[in-house]
Amino acid sequence: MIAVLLAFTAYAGPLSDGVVAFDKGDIPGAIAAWEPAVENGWGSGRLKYNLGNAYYRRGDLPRAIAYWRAAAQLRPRSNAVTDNLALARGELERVPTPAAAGAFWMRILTPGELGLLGSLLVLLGSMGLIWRARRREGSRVPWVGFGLLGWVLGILSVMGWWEQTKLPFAVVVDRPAVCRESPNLEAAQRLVLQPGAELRVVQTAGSFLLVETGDGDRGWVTDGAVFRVPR
Amino acid sequence: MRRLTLMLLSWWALIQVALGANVSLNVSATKLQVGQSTTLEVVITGGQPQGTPTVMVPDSLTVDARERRQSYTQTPRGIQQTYSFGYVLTALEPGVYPIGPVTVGLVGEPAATTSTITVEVVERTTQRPKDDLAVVTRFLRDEIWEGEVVGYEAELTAGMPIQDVTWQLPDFEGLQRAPHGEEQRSRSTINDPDGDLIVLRAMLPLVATGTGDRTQPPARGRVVILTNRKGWPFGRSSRNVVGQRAPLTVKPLPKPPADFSGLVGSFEVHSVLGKPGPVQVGASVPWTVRVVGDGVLDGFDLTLPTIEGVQIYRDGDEVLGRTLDGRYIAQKTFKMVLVPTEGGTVKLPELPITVFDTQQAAYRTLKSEAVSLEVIGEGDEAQIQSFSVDGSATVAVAPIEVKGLYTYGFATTPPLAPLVPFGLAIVGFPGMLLLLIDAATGTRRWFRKRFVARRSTGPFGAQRLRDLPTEPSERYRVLDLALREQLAAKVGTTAGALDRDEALAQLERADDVRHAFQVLDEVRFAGAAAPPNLLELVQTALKVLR
Repeated sequence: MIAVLLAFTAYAGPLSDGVVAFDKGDIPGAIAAWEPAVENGWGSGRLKYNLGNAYYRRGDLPRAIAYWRAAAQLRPRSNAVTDNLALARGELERVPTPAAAGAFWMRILTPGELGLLGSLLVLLGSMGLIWRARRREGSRVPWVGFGLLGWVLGILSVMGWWEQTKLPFAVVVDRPAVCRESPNLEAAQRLVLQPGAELRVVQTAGSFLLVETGDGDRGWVTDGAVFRVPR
Repeated sequence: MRRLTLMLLSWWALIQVALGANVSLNVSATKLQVGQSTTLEVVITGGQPQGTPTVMVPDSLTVDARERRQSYTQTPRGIQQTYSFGYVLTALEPGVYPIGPVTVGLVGEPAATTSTITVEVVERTTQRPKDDLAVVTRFLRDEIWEGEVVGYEAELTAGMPIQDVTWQLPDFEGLQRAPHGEEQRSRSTINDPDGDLIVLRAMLPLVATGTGDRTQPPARGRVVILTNRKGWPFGRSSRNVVGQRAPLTVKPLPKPPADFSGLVGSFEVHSVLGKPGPVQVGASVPWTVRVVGDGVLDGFDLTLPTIEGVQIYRDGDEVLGRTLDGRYIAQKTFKMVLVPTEGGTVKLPELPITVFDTQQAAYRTLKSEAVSLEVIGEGDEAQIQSFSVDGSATVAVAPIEVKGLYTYGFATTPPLAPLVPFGLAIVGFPGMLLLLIDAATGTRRWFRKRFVARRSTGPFGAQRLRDLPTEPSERYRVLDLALREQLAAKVGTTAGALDRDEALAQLERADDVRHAFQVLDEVRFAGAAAPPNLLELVQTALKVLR
């Protein structure tokens, strides 16, 4: 446990390095300090939030939205993330309704937090059953109930994590993205998505992604037209 | 009128809580039997008391100071200090006694006075609540007028530790819940010589919408009892209780006058000007008309008069209502703005409101106070002032900034969710193992019992008693065998593999069985004489085992 904590602490460097650059007005420097940690995987909610702020300061609203949405998945109860996301969305025009962030409970808890809660309930159920077996009295029903509830929460948490992994979101960046009927550049054009459009990636086929807007419209866009925050 | 005045004082005290030092006098239970005690409390909010307040009570009551507490509350105005003085009030003789007002000296402020409360003391009844739970459900009055508000009370008295009660109230046909009148719940403890009593009281204000006999069926309650019995999950159990039918008669209102406002109850009306002194022509003067009473005020509207030299603009209205000390109190505030258009003295007339006064059982016209307003200046001065004379003024709106950065914390965090299945498996393993062991043991016992029963072709266990040998030693052997076989079947083994002591240890009621075995052993192996009820002893033991 101590080794894991030390490993985390070792990674705290980029956060403070980027903050120093950001405060000096060196936005590219801040992004250069923070982005590699995200690309290497396991970027924290704080880091992704800061990256959103940096891109917002640079005027790149779509990437700012992408990073803030990624931060919202890890810090769903953060008012700062919610407020900034709302602010950036308010500055965009002609974008479809953002694709939903997942199940309702993900607006309150991360899959990891729900899983931890479930594990604690299962632990409570196990301890209760042991206590009951030692005392040779009392009903096992409440303890089995805690355990079952814990398992349900645990399964929900894994399903939520699976959904976030298998159905990631993407944001149209830089220029409008053409949404086609099929994964082919010759295919008929279905709609054009403006930069800042928040999409859910449903399927991948080569360099094409089948995406869905929050309004339920679906179509194929090229991988390069959208930005996905590495997990 | 006295009742209404007390009610208004209480209401005013509530409003004053947020404004400055406030003192209040509260009693935990207002109904006592002779010999019972309850707690009395003087609470000072927003001021510092000088010494311990003295509470004067009649000779038929005694009061003893017990404790002083101090607490701090975070309010929008800052941290507020609350002092609380606790007393024990003991009832000595039957009667209805007023307590208070209590005057509290304050540091750096004038002394403050509490309102008066009333305590009713009745003769002592030696009978405790049946099963230590007693329920009373009733309307606070048996006869009311159409449109009047009446309280429905459900009271539970418990002589045992209870946590709470959930009431299932009747449908109240012909009655409706009073707007803004939330259910008022209270919990009080009475120190009784025969043991403490907990009183849970719920009061719901209802407005009569129908007339005639409106007797309501009894309310039901589910009481959560705190129990120390082992085996109950979380040390709680519950019990259902039922109250009584609540009689109520609703009388129709007499024929109303043409100007009847629709208000039923006891009301007062007050008119207040926001700026009492002389004002300039064109100035805005807030004018507030407040109607307070114990009836429903939601549908009531004020008819504004036309006054020469003044324009009247409505600035909204607000209705407040609450249940206070078992009574419903509502207040409707009409906010208006007066803009004088001419100089001189403007007289705001009395505002007549015709209500049905339930205390006098007659229609009555209330009138607000007539107030005057001195206006300075001439009519030409009534001009609207603009902040920008030439129209060039611009209003700078501060841009909304994004929230700041996180300056500390981890840059990377591993996802927890993929580890959840492993975590669940690890922490759930002991419990699942125990459940599996329990299931395996139960299955094994069931299987062996079935197996033993099927394998036996001849008489088995208790069946052997149908054909007992007459020769004594053989008879005792068969009795012993019957007991052993039945005990073996009970613990899921065979008579041959039975460890008697271990099997007896597994039984919850082993005394009869153990005694039968012991008697048989003494008769068979120690040469003791067989008791005449030997067969009965064995039959009783077999009955236990079956």
